[in-house]
Amino acid sequence: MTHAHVDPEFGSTSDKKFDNDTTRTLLQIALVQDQSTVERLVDALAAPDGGEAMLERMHAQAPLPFEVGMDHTVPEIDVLKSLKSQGKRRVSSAMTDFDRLIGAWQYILAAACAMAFHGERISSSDDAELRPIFLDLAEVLSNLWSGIFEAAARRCGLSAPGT
Amino acid sequence: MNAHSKQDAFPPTAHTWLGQRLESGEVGPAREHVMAVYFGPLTIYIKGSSFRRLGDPQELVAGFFSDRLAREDYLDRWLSSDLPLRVWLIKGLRFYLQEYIRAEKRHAGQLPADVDDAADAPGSQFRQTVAHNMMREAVRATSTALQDEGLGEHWDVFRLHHLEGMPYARIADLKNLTEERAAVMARTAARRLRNTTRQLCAWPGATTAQIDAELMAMFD
Repeated sequence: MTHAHVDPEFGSTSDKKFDNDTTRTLLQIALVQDQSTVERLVDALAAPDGGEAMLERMHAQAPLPFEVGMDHTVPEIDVLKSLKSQGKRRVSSAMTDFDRLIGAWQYILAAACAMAFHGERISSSDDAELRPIFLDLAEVLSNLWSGIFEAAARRCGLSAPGT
Repeated sequence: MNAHSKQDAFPPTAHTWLGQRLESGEVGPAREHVMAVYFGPLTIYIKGSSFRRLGDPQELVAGFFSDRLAREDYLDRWLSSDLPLRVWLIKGLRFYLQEYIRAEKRHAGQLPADVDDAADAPGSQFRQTVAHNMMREAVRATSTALQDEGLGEHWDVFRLHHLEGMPYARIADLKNLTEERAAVMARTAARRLRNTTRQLCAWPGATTAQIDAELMAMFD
């Protein structure tokens, strides 16, 4: 019987040595060149030293057409569809990375609110694509926002396509 | 004019791990980090270059760090250099060794006029060792931070999947999670590792693409 190697750097019992293959795998994970705009958005919002500030900057530049708070009113579906279209246009015409991320945020937030509050899928993406994004955003954002994305993820698969 | 440019959104200087340490006055940890990541690679660099004739590489690198890192402004000067730390240290080491040659007159004439760059070529042992040490630091920092935040299991799921090659279905069984939840946890840990690695690799003024190129050049 062999005893598992305890590697303090990996934080748990492991037979894995920190070899060249491991280093290569980890370096690949650190690259962002092949990331989609949405993946870069989630990364930016997940940064422990900048996620909240990133949201504030995005909303300062492109205010949302509805309030999000503990006592928020449910945004109308037409408002959400308009925000989604606005986000899509912003992504396609963006001159900067930041503008592209704002567009992605508007699109995803509108899709999540439509799903969470109205049970309606307003995005052309199917639920299998949307659900992991909603779950990731629920994980990395603060309570106020994560509740919306959690609810949206829960309703994925139960939604009706938008008209 | 738009006040929120790309530079505003991603200020590279603020996201340089060493820069943050120096700005907060943590000079000791900054120096320790530089030595932990670069001591071994710089000895390899000397062994692979014509400088190897000057003596024991470890003693030469120890002398270089002892001389340069002791200077209050050495790392501050790197912050305003617009160079990756790897390049800054090699330039500094070469300069230090030229000084050493002048001081130790017995070595005069031993070196070619041009120092070859093969020792720091992409994929060289020097760069691979820098990558290895940098990833060790990134792994240590990320796993510790996640543990401190009560997210140790996220790291464990990440490790099992990405480093042990375990499928999410097996991890889910092992950890009493859903497969979907295990994937979310691994992605969260991966994001944190990516963020830390890029902060460790970044230099002031570096663009996203330049940091990618620097990371890729280590193992090409």
